[in-house]
Amino acid sequence: MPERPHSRKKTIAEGTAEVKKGEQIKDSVQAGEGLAFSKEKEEKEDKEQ
Amino acid sequence: MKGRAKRAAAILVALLLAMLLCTPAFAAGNTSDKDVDTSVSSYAREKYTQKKGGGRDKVTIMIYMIGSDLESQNGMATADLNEMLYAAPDNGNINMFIQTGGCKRWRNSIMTAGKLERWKLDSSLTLLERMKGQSMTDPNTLASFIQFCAKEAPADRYILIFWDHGGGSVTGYGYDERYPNDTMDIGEIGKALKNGGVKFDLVGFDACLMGTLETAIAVEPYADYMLASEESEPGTGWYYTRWLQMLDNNTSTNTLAIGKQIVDDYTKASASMGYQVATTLSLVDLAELNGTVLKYLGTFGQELTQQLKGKDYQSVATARNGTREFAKSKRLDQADLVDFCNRLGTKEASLLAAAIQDAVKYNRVNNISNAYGLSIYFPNSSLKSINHMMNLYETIGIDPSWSEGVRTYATLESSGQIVANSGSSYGSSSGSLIDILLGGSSGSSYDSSPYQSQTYESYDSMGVEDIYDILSGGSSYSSGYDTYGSGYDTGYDTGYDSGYGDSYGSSSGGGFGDILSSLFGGYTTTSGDTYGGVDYSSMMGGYGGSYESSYDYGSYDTASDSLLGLAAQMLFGRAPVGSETLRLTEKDGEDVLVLSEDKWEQVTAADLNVFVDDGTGFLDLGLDNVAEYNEEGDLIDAWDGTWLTLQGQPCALYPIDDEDEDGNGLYITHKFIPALLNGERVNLIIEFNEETGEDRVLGAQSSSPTGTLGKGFKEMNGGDIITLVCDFYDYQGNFQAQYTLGDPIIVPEDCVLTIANKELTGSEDMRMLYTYRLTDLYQAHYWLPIKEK
Repeated sequence: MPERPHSRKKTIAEGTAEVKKGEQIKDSVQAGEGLAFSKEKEEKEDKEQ
Repeated sequence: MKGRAKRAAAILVALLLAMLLCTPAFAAGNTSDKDVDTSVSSYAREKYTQKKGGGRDKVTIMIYMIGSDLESQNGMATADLNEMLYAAPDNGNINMFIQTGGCKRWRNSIMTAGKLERWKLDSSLTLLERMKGQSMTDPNTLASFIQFCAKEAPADRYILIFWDHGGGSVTGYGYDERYPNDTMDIGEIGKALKNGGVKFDLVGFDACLMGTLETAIAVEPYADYMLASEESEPGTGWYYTRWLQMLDNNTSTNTLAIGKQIVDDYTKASASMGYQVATTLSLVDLAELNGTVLKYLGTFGQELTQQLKGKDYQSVATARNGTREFAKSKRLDQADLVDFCNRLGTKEASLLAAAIQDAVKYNRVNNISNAYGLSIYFPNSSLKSINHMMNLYETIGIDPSWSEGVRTYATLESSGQIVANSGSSYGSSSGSLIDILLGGSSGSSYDSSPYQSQTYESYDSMGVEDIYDILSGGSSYSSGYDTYGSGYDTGYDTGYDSGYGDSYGSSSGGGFGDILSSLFGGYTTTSGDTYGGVDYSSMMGGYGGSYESSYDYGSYDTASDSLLGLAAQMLFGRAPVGSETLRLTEKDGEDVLVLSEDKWEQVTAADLNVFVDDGTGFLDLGLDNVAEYNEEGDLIDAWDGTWLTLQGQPCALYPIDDEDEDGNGLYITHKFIPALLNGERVNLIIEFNEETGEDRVLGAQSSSPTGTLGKGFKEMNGGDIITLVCDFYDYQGNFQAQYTLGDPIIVPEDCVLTIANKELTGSEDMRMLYTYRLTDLYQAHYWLPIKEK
């Protein structure tokens, strides 16, 4: 196979895990980078800087 | 002696007493070892410090200690003070001063929170002055301390050590708990040293990430040697006892020998830790900087600019992507300069690499490769610091040719991102993920209320003029944007408008408007709050003429030195990863993404991206590089419904790095899980190690609000409570807040947390959504059509 971006090997899945949305964290700042146009994170980071 | 000279009994709380009373039992690790380079370049300036020799030199040591949370939470400053006291320097030619401050709570019985205190250290600590609280990250506070020490104890050699958090060239040094919204940036460090009025033999940073060329340039006018780390430091930091004893025995000890002792002790202590911590520490001869390194940095910058303007972005970007980077999760874009040069492999790059390696007199690393002693800011993962860095370059007087090289690269990168994002205007499957989540992609298989499918004109129909217009904020861009907006409901329009305007034009948002303004030499914040408010014509003037007078679609190759024109041409000429090409093809019963090899060469990462629609918005479970390919190299667009769990609970997950350290095809991958540790926001760092076959949690890392990085990992104890968290977005794609995820996890007594792969389940109203995100050399992201598991 031609070279491709590296993928890590997942371990064999054992059992299930339930996604449970909990409580909102006040004054929280975006942790990830999932959505392309979420502006909140960089704005807050800039203010902190 | 000024102030209230109060003799305090040196009864510090003996944290880590057992370890500190004994010579540390250092174990061997995956640690480099080499001799000190004692050569001196013929281009080096004279050293500021001329030693008398024979132990006759008077030495004044200044420790600038911002206690911060390192002390208030973990007693790390007290531990290091104990190390200094064990050395008990009693040589009459040594005067050692410590200024303490910036801490809410000292973990010893003699220092006072909320005050600045100056101490003299020998076999005990003597309080010399207690002053009202001031910010320790204020350069005037540091300058005052230096002046005080020099006046108290004029010497033949001066040593200054910065103790605290560090954030490298982008963020600077220091986190003061009482003045938490500021750091001492690199320019301010230079200002403090200038106003201090002392020429130092050695300036050291017992702080994370300060081993940068920018730091070295700022310090060089005031010091002969710099000792600093490219990478984050573990919590133990430096070991102070031995090198102080060495100096106590002979105050004329060679600076190289002192530096080596500090580096060796630090490296060995780090190697003896229970987990594989990556460390670096290097001693740089600043006297060689101007005559060698900076001379070649200028020519390297010129060559880089020529290479980029010669449309060879791909070579530079490929080299940059592979270069050793430090604190990657913080997106500081600090790359090892020698490694970058080696990967570029040009003549000028080789000359610069050799000059740096000559100036770095001693460098040891632990569990990290391609770290040669000095890093440098070079944008890659984030462009938000470009303005700040351009201003810093002016402040510290870095060669303008280097600034231009960085600016040119950033312009091309940001141009690629702008065009990629604008692709959504043209109906491509590239660009905004929210477009994909809401079913905007014509290839979407997720088409359910409240989502709508739309078909737009093809991105493929864009010509070079359209791309130029997008970059310059012209008509095609606006038109496409309007078209895009009209396809969605009011709420979506509003969210998208707001996001776009702020991101691309706000003077505070750090978006492309600001970036391009800076990149084109304006160095000014943009006045407009919208994309259209930015005067790109005037910016382009800095690069050889206005849009109207110089831009000529037909004569790109020869006439136009407009970077926007160049960018438009390059982006038109490249094989776009996005566009219609991201449509899926069915092969052997599977949906696959088929790209030509020249397109795959531009793809730097492919990540599975999982969201959970809970009926009110999207829970973001993050990104994992678990894409699979068929034998022909096509990406298989499928998901088995499993995801990473911590102690059996699903977690959000984001990439940090993914490296084949030894080039043997076995990768070590680091990711982070956002969480609360006893209520404090942390990132749990996890490692997937193909060399050892182990997947494990390395620890919890926190950072100060200013962005400086805390030393090492936070201590975790049995019984501590971890609460997983994730980001939540509304249907307009706006980040709403973080939410807790699952039930609190109690850290087991052995502190070993289990990570495992499990099948996700949820309540009936939850939909499990997935897509794959591709990242290209421009750091632009593209998503495949969203699917529901």
